[in-house]
Amino acid sequence: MAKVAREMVEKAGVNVDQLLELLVKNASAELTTYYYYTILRANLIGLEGEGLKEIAEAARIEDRNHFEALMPRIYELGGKLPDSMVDFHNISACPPAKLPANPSDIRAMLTVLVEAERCAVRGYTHICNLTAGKDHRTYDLALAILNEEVEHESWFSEFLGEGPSGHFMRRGETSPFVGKFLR
Amino acid sequence: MHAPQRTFTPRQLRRYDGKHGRAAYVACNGIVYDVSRSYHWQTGIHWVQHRAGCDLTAEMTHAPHGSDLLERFPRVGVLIPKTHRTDTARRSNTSD
Repeated sequence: MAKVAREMVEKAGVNVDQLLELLVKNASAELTTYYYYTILRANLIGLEGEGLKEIAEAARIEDRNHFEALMPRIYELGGKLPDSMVDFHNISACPPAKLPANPSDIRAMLTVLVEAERCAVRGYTHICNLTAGKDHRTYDLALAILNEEVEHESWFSEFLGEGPSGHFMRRGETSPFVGKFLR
Repeated sequence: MHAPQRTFTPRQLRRYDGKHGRAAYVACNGIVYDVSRSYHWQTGIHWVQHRAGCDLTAEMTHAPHGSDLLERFPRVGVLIPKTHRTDTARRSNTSD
């Protein structure tokens, strides 16, 4: 644990235990989403599905990166990941992004994907609101993740016919915002 | 014709805290919603900070979503405002 780092956050008025619970729940959401997106991506096939496969893959890899980036902050603040993977799965901040009953229903697949991203956008907005001006390091991390989650939501919502997102598919490396926490 | 609305005092609402198999109800802007089936209200706690069995109107102003999200859940009644209960109590005391 980074003792003084935690002390600074506490002194700024943040309930660190509550913050840690949120960070662990969101780390769980990222890793479980990575898992469920693997299944979704594998089922994105055919004329419609293939068009989505690449963005689903970018979102999948970036969600795993989010898990990797959150983990050190959890331990710095004196928290830990649950010993059991089952427990970790079950405390996820977001519902499982499960494959729809009809995997050839691309609209249903997109709805699962966009709902997962919207849950993440709300979650990191909440963490940013809690830490803004108080816990600079967690805020910086949550904001970086939020930037990527907003882009994921935009990509999928565009396919749902909700209007143009203004974004383009990733070019070059994944995680342009979170990458600095992974080096 | 509308069915009579079930009313809740804040104390009655507190019983629906989502713990130990109890239903999870929350109030917002005077309406009581049953959020028991929501993934986000498992164990009666939402995002670590928010508790079922409470009036969340004030907390909603800081939430990363609007109160319209609650419309996805069944409305189960209305919350009686504290002032209303006080007025009613005062009137009945006067008539005694």
